[in-house]
Amino acid sequence: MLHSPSDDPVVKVENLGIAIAASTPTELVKDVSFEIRRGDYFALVGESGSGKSLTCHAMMKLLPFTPLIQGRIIIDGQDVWSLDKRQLLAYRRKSVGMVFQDPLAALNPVRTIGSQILETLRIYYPHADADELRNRAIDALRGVHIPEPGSRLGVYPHQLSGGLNQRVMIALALLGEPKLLIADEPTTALDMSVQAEVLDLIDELRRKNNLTVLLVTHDLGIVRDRATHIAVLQNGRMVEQGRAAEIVSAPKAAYSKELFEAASVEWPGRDTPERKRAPACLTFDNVNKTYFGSKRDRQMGVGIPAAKSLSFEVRRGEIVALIGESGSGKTTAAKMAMGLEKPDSGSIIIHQSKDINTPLKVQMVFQHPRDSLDPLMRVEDQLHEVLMVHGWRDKAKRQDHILKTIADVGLLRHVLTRRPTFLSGGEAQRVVIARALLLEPDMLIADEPLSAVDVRIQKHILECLQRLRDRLGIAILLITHDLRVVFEIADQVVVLRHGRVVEDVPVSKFTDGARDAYTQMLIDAVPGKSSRAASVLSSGFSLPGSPALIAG
Amino acid sequence: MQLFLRILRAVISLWLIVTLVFVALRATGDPITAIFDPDNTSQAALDSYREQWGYTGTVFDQYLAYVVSLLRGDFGYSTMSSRPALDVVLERLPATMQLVGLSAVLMIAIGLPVGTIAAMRAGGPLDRFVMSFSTIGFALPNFVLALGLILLFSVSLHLLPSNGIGSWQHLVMPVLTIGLSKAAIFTRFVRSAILDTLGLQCVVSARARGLTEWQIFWRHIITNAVLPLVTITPLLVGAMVAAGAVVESVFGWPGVGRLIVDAVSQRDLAVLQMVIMLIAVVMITTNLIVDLAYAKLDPRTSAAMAH
Repeated sequence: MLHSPSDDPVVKVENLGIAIAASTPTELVKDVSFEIRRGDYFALVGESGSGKSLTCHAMMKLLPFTPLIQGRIIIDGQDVWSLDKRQLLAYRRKSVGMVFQDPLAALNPVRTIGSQILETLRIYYPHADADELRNRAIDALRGVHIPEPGSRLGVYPHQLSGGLNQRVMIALALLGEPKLLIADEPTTALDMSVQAEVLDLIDELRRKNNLTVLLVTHDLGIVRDRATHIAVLQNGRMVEQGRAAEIVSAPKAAYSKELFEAASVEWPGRDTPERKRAPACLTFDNVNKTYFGSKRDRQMGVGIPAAKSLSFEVRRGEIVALIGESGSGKTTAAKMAMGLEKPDSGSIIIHQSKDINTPLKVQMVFQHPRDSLDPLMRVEDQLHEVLMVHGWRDKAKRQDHILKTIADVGLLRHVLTRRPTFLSGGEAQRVVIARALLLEPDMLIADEPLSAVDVRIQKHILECLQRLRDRLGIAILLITHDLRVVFEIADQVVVLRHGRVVEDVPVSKFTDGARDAYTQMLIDAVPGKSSRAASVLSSGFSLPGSPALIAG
Repeated sequence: MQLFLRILRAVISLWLIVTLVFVALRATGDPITAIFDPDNTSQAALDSYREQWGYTGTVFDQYLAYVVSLLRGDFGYSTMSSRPALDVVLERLPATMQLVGLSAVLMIAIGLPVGTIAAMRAGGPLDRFVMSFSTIGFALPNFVLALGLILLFSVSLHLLPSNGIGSWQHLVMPVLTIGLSKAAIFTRFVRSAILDTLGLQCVVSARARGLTEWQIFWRHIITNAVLPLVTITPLLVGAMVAAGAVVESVFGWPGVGRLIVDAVSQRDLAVLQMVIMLIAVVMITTNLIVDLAYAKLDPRTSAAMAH
C-alpha cells in the first residue's frame, strides 16, 4: 500500500472508548472514530461532559485517572497507548503540541516565562549555550507576536494578560515543531476580542508552518468559519462529522442542529420598533470610582479607574446590556448599584415606585450558579429560607409562591427536592434567578449569568430572562462580555471602556457601523459574524464567510 | 517600607506578649506570699523582699517599672538562684537549640520523602500504611513515646543513657521523641501539599511538553508544594519548643523547656518572663524571615505589575 505522505492521516482514532476502571466501568467515551489529514483544521465540538476534552487528553495519554481504553489512537504513525515511557516522551516532544483552556493555570506561577521556555528548549537543543537558547526563546515569542519579547522572559505569568499568556503557551507547544497542535478550549477563558486574536494567530501559524490543528470547543461560532472539518460529540459518542462547509450548511443530527441554532447570531434588524420610554428604575449620575493598589498610590493619585463620570439609566421593563472587556469596570458598576461598593463621587439613584413611595427592589444574580447555592441544602429549603428571613411565616403561602416563581423561570416542580449537585448548569442558574425573584424585585442585576453554562443552556436562560421582562415587567441590568447575548435580548447597550461609557444606544442602532472605534472592534470580534449577510436564509443557519479557508 | 512595617508589627507583637506575661503572672497571686509562708515570716522581711524584687506600689506602677527595666536591658533576678534571669536562661539555650534543631532536621528528613512518596502513590497500600502510622504518631502523647523509648533502649537493651547530657547517645532519644511526633504531622502536610500540586494544570502542561517526570517533580511540583510547607514549618518548630517542656523533663535534659517547668513550680517570675520573651522573640523573628522568604518564593505576593 503506497500513500503519498500528504495523504497519510496525521491522526487516526479508531473506535476509541474511555471508561473509568471499576467493578462496573463507567463509560465516558464510546466508539469514537475520526481521521485528521495533514493540514486539516479539525474542530471537535460538544458541550461540557460530551467527552471532547477526554478524547484530546487521551490523545496525549494525559488522563487524570487510569482508564480502560478501547480502540486505538494512532498519531504520526505511533499507537499512543502502546508506547513505552521513552517513546511516549519522544512522542510528546516531537509529534504534538498542546494548548490548554486556562493559560494562567497551565504555566507554573512561581517561575518566570523565560525559565519555562528555556527548560523546554533545552530538550530540543541539549548542546546549545545560554545565549543561543535565549535567542531562540525570543524568536519563539516573536513568532507568536508578543511585543518586546526580550523583556518578557524575566516576567511571571500573573504579570501578563490572559491573551499574552495563551500566546506564550502556543509558543511553548510549538517549540518542538510538532506536526499536530491540539488546542483544548484555547479561548474560553479569554475576552471576545482577545479570542479573535488568538484564533487568528492559530490560523496564521497553521498556514505558515503547515500545521495540522485539532481545536476542541463548545462554541460552534468560533470554528464555523475557520475549521475545515467538524465533528460533533454528545454524551461521549460521535453524532456527526464531515467537512465544515457541509455540516454548517446542512447539519443532519438533531443535536448539531440545536448547537448551531444556539451559536447562530441574529443581528438585530434596524426595524425593531422602539420601545416607548418607561420611567427610570436605576440611574447612575456622574459616578466616579478609583481603586488604588496601595496607600502610597492613593496619595500620589495613581489608581485604576473603575468608573469615570459614569452615567446611564435602566428603565422599567428594559434589558440593558453592560458590555466591555475584563477590567472595564462592569462588575464594579454592578456592585455599586447593589450598594456593595461606595462610589467616590456622583450618585446612584434607585427610583421610587409610582404609587407607593418605597424604593424599587433590586436583586442580584451571580456568575457561577453553583457557587451561589448551598451544596448541602435542597433547593426547596434554600428558597423557603429566603422567604422565612423576610418574614413569610405561613408555610403553605411560601410553598405557593415558590411554585409560582419556579414556573416563571421555566423549571419543573421536581427540581425542588434536589440538591444543587444534581442540577444541570442551566437549572442551577434558573434556581438562582428564581431565588432572586422570590422577593418580587423590580430589577435584576445579572453579572455574567451565562458565561458558566453551555451554549444550548444559554438559550434557555435567555428565554427565561426575556419572559421576566415581557411578562413581569422586570428591568434587567445584564453584565456580559458576549455580544451575541446582547443582540439576542437587550433593548439598550452600554459599552464601557476603562470605566467610561463609550456608547449608550438602543440595540437596533448598535450594529449600523457608525460606532466608536472600540465598539466596532468588539463587533468585529464576534465569532460567526458572517451570518449577518446570511441572516436572510430561511434555514436560519449561515454559511461560513471565507470559502478559501474551507478548501484548505 | 514593606520591611519597616513588618518589623514594626513584630515589635508590637513583642510588646503585647510582654504585657500578657505580666498580666498572667500577676493574676495568679502575690508572688511573695507564694514563695514565703506569710504566717512564719515577719512583715518587715516580706516588705524588704517586695522592695528588692520590684513588687511595690500599684499594679500599674509595677507594670511601668517592669517595662522601663526591660527597655534598659534589666530583666530582673532569678529568685531561685539570685543570678540575673537573662544569664540563667541563656545558659540553658544551647541545649534546647541543639535538641530542637536536630528534631527539625529529623522531621524534615522523614516528612519530605515519606510524604512525597505517599502522595505519589495516593490511595495505595504504602500511602495507607504511612497515613495510619502518622495518625498513631501524632495521637501518641510525647511522654508515652519517651517512656517507651527509655524502656526499650535503656532498660531492656542497655544501649542508651536514659538521662542527662554530654554525648551523642544522650541526644538520640529526646530527638527521636520530638522529631518523630512532629514528623507524623509534617508528613501529612507534605502529602497534601504534593497532592494539591499534582493536579495542577501546569504539571499536566509540563508533561504534555515532554519534560521527564524527574524534571516535572523538581521544577514544577516542588516549587509549588513548598509554599504551604514554608508557612507551616515554623509553627511546628515552635510546637517543638513547647513539647520540649515535657520531653526535657522526662530525659533530664537541661534545656529551656525544663527551666519553664521549674520556674513555674517555684514561681520564679523573672526567669519565666525571660523564657517566654525569648521564645517569643525567636518565633517572631522566624515568622518575619518566613514572610520575607515567602515573598521570594511566590512572586504573586509582590503585587508589582510588569507592562
